[in-house]
Amino acid sequence: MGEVLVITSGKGGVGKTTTTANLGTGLAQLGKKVVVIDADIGLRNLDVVLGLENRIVYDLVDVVEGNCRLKQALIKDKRYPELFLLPAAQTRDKNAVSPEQMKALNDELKEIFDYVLVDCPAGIEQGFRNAISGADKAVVVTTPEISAVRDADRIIGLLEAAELRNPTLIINRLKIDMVRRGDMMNIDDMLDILAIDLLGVIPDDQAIVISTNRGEPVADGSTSQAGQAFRNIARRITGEEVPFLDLDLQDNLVHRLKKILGFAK
Amino acid sequence: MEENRSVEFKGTGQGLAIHVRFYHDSQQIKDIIQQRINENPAFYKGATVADITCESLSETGRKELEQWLAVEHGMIINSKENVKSKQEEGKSSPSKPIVKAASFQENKEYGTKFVEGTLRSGQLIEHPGDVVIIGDVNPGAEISAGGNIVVMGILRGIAHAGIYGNKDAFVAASVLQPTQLRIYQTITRSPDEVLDRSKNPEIAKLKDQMICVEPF
Repeated sequence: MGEVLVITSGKGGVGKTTTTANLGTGLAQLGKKVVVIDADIGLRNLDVVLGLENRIVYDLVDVVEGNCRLKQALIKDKRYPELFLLPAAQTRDKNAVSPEQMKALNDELKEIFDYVLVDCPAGIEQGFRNAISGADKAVVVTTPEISAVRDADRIIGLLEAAELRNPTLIINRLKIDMVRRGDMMNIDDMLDILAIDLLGVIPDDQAIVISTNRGEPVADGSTSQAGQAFRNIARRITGEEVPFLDLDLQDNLVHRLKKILGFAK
Repeated sequence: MEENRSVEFKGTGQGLAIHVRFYHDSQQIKDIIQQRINENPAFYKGATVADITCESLSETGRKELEQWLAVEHGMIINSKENVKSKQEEGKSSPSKPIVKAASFQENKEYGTKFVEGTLRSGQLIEHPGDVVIIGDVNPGAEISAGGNIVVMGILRGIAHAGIYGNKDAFVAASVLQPTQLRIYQTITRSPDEVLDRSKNPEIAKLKDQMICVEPF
């Protein structure tokens, strides 16, 4: 029996889709059987990020409407045979699916897969309600911006109201040098407000932009820091204890010299 | 909105052609048709029904629907015999889409749909005849036609020609770079590697169950 994780944020553009694609890849690397579901009907992106857009024939709405069998709609990843995508429909909208249908779908999928990752749309309306129904756990993604944290807080409240207790937090796009200068919220500030467990921190990384445009998740073999961070989070999801990345490692030489000489901490 | 799209009323020379697109049971179909008729009852009263096409209705279901239209709405049923043969074909292979004998004549009957402007992601053009797009078709947009598809612009989305079984249907575009091409029941997708793609007009046709693309 697998586990259904919904990846959500409230605010748009904080990296839900990128996170879903990379955690799916990371879990598949660990030999898990994974399916990623794009619940963003009408504004689908997960297929593009995974580079599987041109393989879509049937989608989630076709499955729930009975136009095809579930297996027909699942798209096998190019790189990992144990990773599958269930794409969203693009020519329909969120109301094409009901929370009950999503729950039934998730229940069916977790019989087959070890992990079911649901990429939640932005917002708190029907799409959000669809995406969280049937989920066993929730992962909240935020960026170190006050607006994203505010929305994450709202989402955590809504998740708790929907009986999804103890969601975990991923902080995305952290710029460690800005944090050090005091120009960006630091991790503790955010954890103070949100008061949930930290699942991981993804540093801001240009490799993400490159990999997203190519349709190859950064967690796939890349040596980038972001890729490593996603692989670590995937291992934490499986229950492994993995220490947090020391983001200071990438400090510039000047800072390190200052550190040695005692001018900086 | 969605429901309205699933039943299509079309005026033909012989009368109204009703096309039910999605799989509904007969009560749902009735409800949808009722809804449409309520919008303009005077128009439908006494109208001639030339054809009812539906993939999910059985022969008896269709008969019942015809009768219901005749009794409840005073419509005159004039459906052709070819509908019957379509139904029987469908029964023999339920897993495949219903296929009706295609001919140029048939495409002509439905006429050509012209769309001006860019088709954007999420937009879907469906038409039983030929479709001509004067503009680009972006990724995520979809065209599905009973006949041929011509794009006077860049085709980057999905094009499905000959959906009802016209194996001679083609897809032509000023620049052909589709996400996916479908003709009748054959599907191809663009290669994963970024290739030097042609910037010249091309046409895609079905040859020996394979989609062939050539310049024209």
